[in-house]
Amino acid sequence: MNASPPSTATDPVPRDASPPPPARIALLGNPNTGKTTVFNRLCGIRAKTANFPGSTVEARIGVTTRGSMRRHVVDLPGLYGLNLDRPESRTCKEYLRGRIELGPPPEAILVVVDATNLERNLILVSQAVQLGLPALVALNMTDLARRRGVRVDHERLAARVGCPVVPICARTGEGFDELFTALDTPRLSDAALPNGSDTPGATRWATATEAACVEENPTAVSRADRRTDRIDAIFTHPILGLLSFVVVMSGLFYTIFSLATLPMDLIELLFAQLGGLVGAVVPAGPIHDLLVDGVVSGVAGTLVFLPQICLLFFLISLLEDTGYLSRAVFVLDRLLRRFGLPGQAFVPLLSAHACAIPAIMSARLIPDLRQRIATILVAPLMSCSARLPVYVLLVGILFPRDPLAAGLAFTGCYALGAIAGLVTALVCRRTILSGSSPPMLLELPTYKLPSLRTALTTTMDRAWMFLRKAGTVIVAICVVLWWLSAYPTTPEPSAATALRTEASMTADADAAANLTTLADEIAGRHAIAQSFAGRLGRTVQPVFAPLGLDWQLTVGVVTSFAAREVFVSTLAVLVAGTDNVDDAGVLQRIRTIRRDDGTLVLTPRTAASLLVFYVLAMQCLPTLPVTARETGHWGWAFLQLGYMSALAYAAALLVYSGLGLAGVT
Amino acid sequence: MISRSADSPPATVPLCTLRRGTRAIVARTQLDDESCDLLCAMGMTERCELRVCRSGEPCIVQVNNTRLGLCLAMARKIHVTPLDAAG
Repeated sequence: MNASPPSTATDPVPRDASPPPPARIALLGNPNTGKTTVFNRLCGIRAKTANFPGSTVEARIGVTTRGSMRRHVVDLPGLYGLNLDRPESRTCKEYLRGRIELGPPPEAILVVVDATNLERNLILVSQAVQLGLPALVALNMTDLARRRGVRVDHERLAARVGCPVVPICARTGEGFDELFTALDTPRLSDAALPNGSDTPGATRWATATEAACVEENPTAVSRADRRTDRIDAIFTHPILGLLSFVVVMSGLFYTIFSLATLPMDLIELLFAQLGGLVGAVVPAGPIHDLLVDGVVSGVAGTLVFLPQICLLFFLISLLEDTGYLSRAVFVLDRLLRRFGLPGQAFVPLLSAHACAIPAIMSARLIPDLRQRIATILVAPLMSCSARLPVYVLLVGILFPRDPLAAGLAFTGCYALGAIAGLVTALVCRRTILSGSSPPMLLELPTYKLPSLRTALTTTMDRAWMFLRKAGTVIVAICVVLWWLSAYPTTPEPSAATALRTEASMTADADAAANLTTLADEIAGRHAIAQSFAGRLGRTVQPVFAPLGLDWQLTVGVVTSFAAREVFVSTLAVLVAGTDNVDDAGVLQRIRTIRRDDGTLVLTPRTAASLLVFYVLAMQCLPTLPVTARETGHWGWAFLQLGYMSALAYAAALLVYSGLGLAGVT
Repeated sequence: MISRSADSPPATVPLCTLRRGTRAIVARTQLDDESCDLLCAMGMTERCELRVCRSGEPCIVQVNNTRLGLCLAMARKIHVTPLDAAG
């Protein structure tokens, strides 16, 4: 883009400059000025989110067809100034100067300002109108300003900033007809403005401009302010704030768990039927297996995450919009700061107890890059719902007839994951992610009713981003792991063939069915044992031997590399030839699985070792592409996989050895 | 921009010492440049008037119509001149 050099007070642009109506507009503004609502009014909810090249700073791109022409609108992230040493400030400034691209360059800037907070917003306006692009200002929240007794003379303000100023109320749509008309005539500012890099000068100019344009500036504490004071006193109180937080978060996660179950079940059912349909149409053979067991299962395995992702982002967006979330950040900051994490980390860390994938995506709430990466690295250590089947199996072996001890063991698993996560975060922040943490400073927005439209937009954005960026990789991983577990195909063992022959000659239907089931079990065990994954399990078994794992458990660990819950179904196939883990008989048979020498495989000592391994191990490959995307580098994803695997192995070895020394078998 | 100084004049006190409801004028800070610039961009400029909405951790202040939450460590380094007693 060929941008003009920035104009300054000593380098005014001629007043008669009249550029053609812009077809591409950049939307700029402070946080909490209603900029997203303005964008949604301009473009509707059909917008896409894109990252600036080489960064995690993102913008939303939409199209508006109202007004005189079709226009592209780029909604830049909310920022407090273009000259601040922050990623979003640097990126937006470079973008507006045409030095980095995000599609075609903008031809004009629309600055959204809060009419109730003019002085602060004017600093950004003074910086924006000096970037060499025609500009106009949308004076938002005029309804709120009126209620507070603030009257802004927008014509005088336009003269002071050198470009059109349009009073609007994005919440109600008031003033948007005028705004659409004004989009045709943004102007290069010819006003006498302070140099963009002169912060004290910009501050003095903003103060003087506000004094000149705001007719009434109330100083008395309003009833609304006093009400906000009282609510803040509760939500940020050391004890009441924590209690409120527990209640709000319990409600949020209860809602996610209870509402996500139905769509998740429906997705699984739908894809099971689709698999059956494809299986009926495509003749048996490798293509049939690839489509049914690889592709359809892989797509199902990806889409099944969507309900939790959508619900999480929908509810968090609603919560953020109410103004509560920024208060909760302060409550949690007291605890998390000790581990090098900011208060905002509570959202991803709590969400990770449902699923690490949406949790990692929600780490974007954390402004500091080092703190964000540390949070992403440790989020999968929180015990997610996929670990539950493994916990149920292993805790059941450890404490078969002691519900209290089993309950404590379950709690211990969750506590171990959380403690390991916090300690690891501290280690990361003191080593590879060292550096001073920015002091907690947040704008606390006014409490208000949340916008459903904004929440839906955010949800659609995140869901689409997950499907487009991570989903494709997850499907590929699922297909590869299916292939490793299914190939090479080997002839059915003679024992199974003999049983089928016997079944075909048996007159008794029940006996024939039993023989066929037995043949299926033998064939299933043989197939997985001879697959690439099975052979890999046998090959690497010596590595896991110090943890007490025989070849069968090792095959379970290897096949569950993609997803932890696969461990139980793999063992079910190995011992029973079926992956129906809902069958209590199958679980009992897993518990009594024996080594080649006839001894029990899952002894309390082995079960404890394996339990600790699964609390800490990564064992969830779909998380990796999400980590790579959110950190901007695959190196962080591989580090996450490496350190979690090493930590899990070391801790399991410690437990197995310690129990051995204590005489536990 | 809020000026930085190692020594505060006697008339100023750290923001964290003010009680809820007190009004004050921002005098100077002992924060780094980055934090000073951010505070300024968020509306807490030198000589601006603020009202303490909550003291302690976090310290919540209102500047014009902006409500800012600051950690205690930050509030200790902002020196202000009180205008009145807690209301």
